[in-house]
Amino acid sequence: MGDATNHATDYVIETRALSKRYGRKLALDNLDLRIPRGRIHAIVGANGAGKSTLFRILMGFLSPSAGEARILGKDSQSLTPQDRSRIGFVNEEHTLASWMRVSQVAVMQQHQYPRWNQHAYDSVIGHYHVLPEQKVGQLSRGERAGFNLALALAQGPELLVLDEPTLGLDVVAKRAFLESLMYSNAADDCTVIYCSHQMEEIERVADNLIILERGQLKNMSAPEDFTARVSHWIADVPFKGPELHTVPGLLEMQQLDGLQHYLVLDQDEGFERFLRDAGARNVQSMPVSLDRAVNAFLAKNHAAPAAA
Amino acid sequence: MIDLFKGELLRFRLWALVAAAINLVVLGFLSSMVDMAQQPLLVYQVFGAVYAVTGALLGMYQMGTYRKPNQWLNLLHRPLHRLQIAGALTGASATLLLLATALPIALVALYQDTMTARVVDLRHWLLPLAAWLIAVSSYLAGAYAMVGNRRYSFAAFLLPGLLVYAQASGVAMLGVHCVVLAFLAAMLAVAFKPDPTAPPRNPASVLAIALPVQLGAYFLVWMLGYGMEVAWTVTGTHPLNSPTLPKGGYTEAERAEGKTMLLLGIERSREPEAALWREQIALSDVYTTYPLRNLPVQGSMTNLLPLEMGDADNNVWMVYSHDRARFVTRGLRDQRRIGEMGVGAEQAAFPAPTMPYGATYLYNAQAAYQYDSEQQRMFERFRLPEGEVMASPPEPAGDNIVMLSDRAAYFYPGREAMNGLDLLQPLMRVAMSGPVGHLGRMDVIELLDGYLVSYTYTWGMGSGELQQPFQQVLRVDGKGHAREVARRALSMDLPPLYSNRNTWLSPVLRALCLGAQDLFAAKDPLRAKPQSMPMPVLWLAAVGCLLSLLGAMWLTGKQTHAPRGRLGWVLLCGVIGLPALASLWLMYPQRETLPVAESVAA
Repeated sequence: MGDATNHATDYVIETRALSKRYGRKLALDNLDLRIPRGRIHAIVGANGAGKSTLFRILMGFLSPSAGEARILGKDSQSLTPQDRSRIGFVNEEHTLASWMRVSQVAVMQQHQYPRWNQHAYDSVIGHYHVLPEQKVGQLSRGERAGFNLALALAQGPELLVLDEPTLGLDVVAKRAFLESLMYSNAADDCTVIYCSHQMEEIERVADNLIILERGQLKNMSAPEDFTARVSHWIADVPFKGPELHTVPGLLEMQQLDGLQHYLVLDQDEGFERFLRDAGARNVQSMPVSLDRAVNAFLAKNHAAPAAA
Repeated sequence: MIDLFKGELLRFRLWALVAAAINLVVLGFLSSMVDMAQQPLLVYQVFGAVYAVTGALLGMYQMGTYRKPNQWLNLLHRPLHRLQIAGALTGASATLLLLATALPIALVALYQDTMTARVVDLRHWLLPLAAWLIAVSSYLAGAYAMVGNRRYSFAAFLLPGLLVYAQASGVAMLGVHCVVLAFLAAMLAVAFKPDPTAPPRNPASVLAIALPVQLGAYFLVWMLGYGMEVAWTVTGTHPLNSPTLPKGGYTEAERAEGKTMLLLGIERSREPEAALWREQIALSDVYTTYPLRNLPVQGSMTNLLPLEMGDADNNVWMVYSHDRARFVTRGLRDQRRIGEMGVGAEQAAFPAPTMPYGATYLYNAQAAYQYDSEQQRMFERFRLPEGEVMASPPEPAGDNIVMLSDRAAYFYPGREAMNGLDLLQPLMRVAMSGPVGHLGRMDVIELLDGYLVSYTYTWGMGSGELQQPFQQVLRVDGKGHAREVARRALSMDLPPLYSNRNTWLSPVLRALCLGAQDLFAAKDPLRAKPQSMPMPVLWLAAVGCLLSLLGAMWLTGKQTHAPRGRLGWVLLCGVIGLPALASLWLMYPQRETLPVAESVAA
């Protein structure tokens, strides 16, 4: 009983040894993930990392091969309509009834969601030039994204899942979307799971960075903490330099203008000694951006042809 | 829920209005040319097929668009029970189909009833309802085909197929429609959930889904049999496509001309008169009668053939009305209502729906009538004894007239038939030794003092309902005494295991199909009870069930089932046979196993 209470209060999402297999491929591999209540959590991962599978299991639209998944303390496979009213979901396609008018969709949602927050709806939709009499099918992709966000936030969810909401939006629409999310009071009242490949967005909105790779949890920390784990070293090595397999924590190595650039994970000053021992005449260390750090991290184990 | 319902109405309203308009224009145009209430069965079947296709396309399109992963998630992830969402979507579609199918028919019926002299009976007012139920059933089948697991969901289309074979009529047929609709609605309700591909676990849900899948597998294998026949034909080895048909077989008996049939019948007869009969057959006319398979049924929504006839000399058009049990007459040229016409001078009611044939004759289940143009009256000329029903209306057979009931052939005096309008008394009655439902044909020649009558029982071979086809030849003397002079068993032509594959594949499903066919139907005296199967077929069925049971034990071991569920499936496969094993394989994926090393390492 105490366990259940903890589930309900401590974590909005909790998975234990969660696995999902499609034929011979493991989409989720013994995933243990606990996302605490509150704040904005970003989930990143390369295509095929298991993000969509995870969301589909969490929303009860796919059954796991093994393990368990809980969302807002409830078993994801037995969510009730009331549970669903507490979870907002915005997907990248912004699938809404294209044949209906904006006002009709809003009224429908208003009738269905008991905690409908008209103020939240108005404040978000105010960022867009969307008229109530417009048909959803006539809205631009950016307007549809904003309308979808307005609907989701107005539902008064405890948990809002945004699955690549800005995919395919232009720069202006992306900014409008992010601003409407960040400046909405409704978003402050709920936990937001933000799944995206756009690191600049994540850097801007996320309090917590979750990295999935091949169905496994690889990182869960504040974005700046993750960035701090990755360092960029530039070494002037006159000869061949160290063998790559001997480089500790190596994520990426490039040779540019006769200098060797190393991106490494979890290395301190000892890495400078390693480079000097390997014959480096000059060694410099630089911070890296979140984008570069995450990309290097994800690219490290990227599949390549056997011959490569 | 009501908002979703309204949203869905909004989505398809234009399409529904266009469909309704087209339907109304087509029906209206046809109605201006012909009486839509008096069309042959084929016309109603064509309209029914169009409504079925319309419904199926709507269901497939509507659910097909929602079934895309993100659309599905968006649809079902809301604070409504999944069945409320399903109810809103299907309710809206049913409403739109009502507009597109039933309303135009009702309007045309209203037009015919109020603005023309045509007959519109109560049965015709059921047609809009039937059309709507057909469309909704097909809609649900199309919806389930899209929502359910595509490995087997298209089996749902078999259920509306029952409507083609159902024997019920009138209100009872609407009952069959409702059963089909309820079954399909239950199937959709089972599948309409966040993960529709997950197999059902509740026993009732499992049965609701498994049964059509099993029927689908059963039907598919049965149809593959026809593929075998095509292969025989292509390789030139088909026994029924060779220049000479198998001697002594039922196909030869079905295709032979009357003379040949009688000669074949008495080929081995040792009767002293046999040689004389052969000469007479060669010289005489042979009269062949094929029994009816259906009779007009009171309250039936459709007609086998139009129940109408005309008298150009008197400018009268007569249409049988089920409600009035009489013919309603109107002017042939001015189309104005004249009155009603019953039997005889009393204008008595007909005992059953009465169908015209030939120029002046009519028949129903119990009697045959003649229309007299001079008196403009209908007279009862032939009446069957109590308890017998018409199997073939009166036809000339030499100097006399022969009529077939479900139990015997009756011979009536031809001269009296020609010269009067009184009720005729039969000259002789020649009883059948087999049921009329198996009778393929009757061949008669007139002898100097009586008849030579051949009854050939071949009907039902294709469906396995007849296992022992035979021909019987009777000599009927002038006083009507009949004695058998020849009897020969006919061979099956095709291997019995091929002809009876619908039984050995699954005796239970065959029984179920036969039962479903007769659901809510009144007993049909023109149909025969299926004959019992030969032992080899039954043994093969038993072996199939055993193999299915063993296969289920092995297959369920590789799938995920609760112990009771597994036991249930093993027993079901043992009872139903191979189609159940096919459904088990289709419905349940192999258990998802995780790599041991990785799991342990994690």
